[in-house]
Amino acid sequence: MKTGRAQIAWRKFKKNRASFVGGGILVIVILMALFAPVIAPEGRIEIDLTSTKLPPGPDHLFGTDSLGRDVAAYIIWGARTSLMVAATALLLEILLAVAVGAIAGYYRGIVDDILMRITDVILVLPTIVLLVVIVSMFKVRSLFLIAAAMAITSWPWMARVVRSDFLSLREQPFVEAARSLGASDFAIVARHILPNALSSIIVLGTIDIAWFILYQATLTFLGLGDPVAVSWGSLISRGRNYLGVAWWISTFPGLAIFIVTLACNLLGDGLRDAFDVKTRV
Amino acid sequence: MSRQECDLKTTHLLDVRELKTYFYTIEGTVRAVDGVDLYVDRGETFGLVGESACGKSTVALSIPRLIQTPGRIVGGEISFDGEDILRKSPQEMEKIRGRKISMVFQNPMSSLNPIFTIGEQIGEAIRLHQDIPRSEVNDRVAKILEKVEIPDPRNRMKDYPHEYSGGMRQRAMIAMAISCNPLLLIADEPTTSLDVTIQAQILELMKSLKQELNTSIMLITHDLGLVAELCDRVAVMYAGRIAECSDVKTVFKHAMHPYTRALMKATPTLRTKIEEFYTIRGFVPELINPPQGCRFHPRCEYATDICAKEEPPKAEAGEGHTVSCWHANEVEKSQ
Repeated sequence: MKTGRAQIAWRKFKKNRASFVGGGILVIVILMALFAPVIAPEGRIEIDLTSTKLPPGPDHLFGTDSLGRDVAAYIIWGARTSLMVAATALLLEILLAVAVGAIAGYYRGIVDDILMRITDVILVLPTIVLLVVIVSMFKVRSLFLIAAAMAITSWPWMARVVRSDFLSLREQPFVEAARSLGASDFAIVARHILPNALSSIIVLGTIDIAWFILYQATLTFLGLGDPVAVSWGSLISRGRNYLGVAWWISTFPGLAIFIVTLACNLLGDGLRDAFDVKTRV
Repeated sequence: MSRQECDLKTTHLLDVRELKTYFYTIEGTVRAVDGVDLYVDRGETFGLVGESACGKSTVALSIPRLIQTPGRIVGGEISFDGEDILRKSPQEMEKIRGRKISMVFQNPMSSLNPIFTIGEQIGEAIRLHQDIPRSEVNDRVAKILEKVEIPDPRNRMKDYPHEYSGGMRQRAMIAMAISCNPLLLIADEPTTSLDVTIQAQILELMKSLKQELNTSIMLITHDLGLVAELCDRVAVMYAGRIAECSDVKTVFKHAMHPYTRALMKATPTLRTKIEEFYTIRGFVPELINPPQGCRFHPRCEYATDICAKEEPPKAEAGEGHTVSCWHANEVEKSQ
């Protein structure tokens, strides 16, 4: 049987129970988000003033909120928003981070200096403050704006890692060998360096998804989210006023955030160990 | 950069003249290659020998212009197959590398990309220069692997580098280097990191490939045995310069440079007793501040006053035999 790096990583990953569970939870959440209309018919998240603040029971597993919407259904639909925004933010973050990190690490010199000073400027500002400033500059707050803002505030971390990977990978003999065979700079970066740097990008990305879900909920909680979107943050925010009489409105979406964030972190840890050549099976 | 118009009338495949490659470091300018002349003819195997850190590899990397910052080619001419290498654009160089000039490096263990199969990597080398449909690439790869004597190439091309032994990886590297039938193959210490039996196999392979493909080979090594075995002509390099250059027989029988002689004396044979091992005293000088005059004089048994003051000119000592030493005649007589 052929054992490539991917297979070795998979074997190591399976041995790590915690990250396996984390990955499993994420898969379930993603499936839930995908099949939301099947699991929780849209009617359940419509306003129904005849059944507000009902406690958890057989009819409403997690109870209903102040407007009579089913909390469980709302969480399932909220997962769609959370994951979509987090995925968009991650994609943008990776694009930015890889572009900047690759150019800085591969070409070094003055280009590197300029790009790294730019990342430094963003790194020294508290992320959440920067996020609030960027988002509050816009009157219409779409989900894409929130995703873009999160990507803009988060890419420097990943760019730093990509750069350091590139700095060491560019000195590898196989890069010189590729160059001696006539490979162009672009081919060297795309075919030889980037694939070798992919593991750190994946690991960081998994952990960043958790941050994006948290930031997104935080922004919504602060009233800076998309006001019409069905999201975990907005539900927590609404339940805040009823914590004494209807604890379930805030608690269950909070729990959802907690579980998904934890799952992402567990998965990230497991992936990091799995890709690490130094930890043997 | 001021260079004279390159003389393209040369009949040699590769003609390097007055090549200077410097490295600009914080400690100072390292003159790794400081005025090197050499040529390689078509179908010829040319050896470049010298101790570690004498600039051999820098010469090797300068020819296909693979020198990276802080290094730079600051002077001289490189004419290859009638073309002026130093005047080519980076894009033109990419077309020459791998297709006309290719290289085999010292460390086969890390010269292959760990995350692609051997077949994918050789296929990439082929597709960089030849327009071959994807479906035929695998056939070509298998053929080339067969040429470098990898058993069961159809299956072994699906292996990752870590599944190959050191010798097999070097074969795979050679396969990549010859995949486009280059005119010149630069082999930079191709057997240094391999054990002795594998070395012999790789040597045999290079010999047979040379005959089959009629490729010129530039062999960079510190092993005089390899040179005797494989090369037609040889240049001995010391501290960034060529000390002596000639055909292999002449160098081994009538060496006229003290450094060449010392190198040969330092090569142990089966009959050498341990207490008789000859070593050249001292070290290769730092190339930031090379010694005045002849660079070898601090370590030379024949050195006199003039050696410390003036640099010896390159002298014609016989047909195709050049030597840079004030006392060349003395050295020759003394053997």
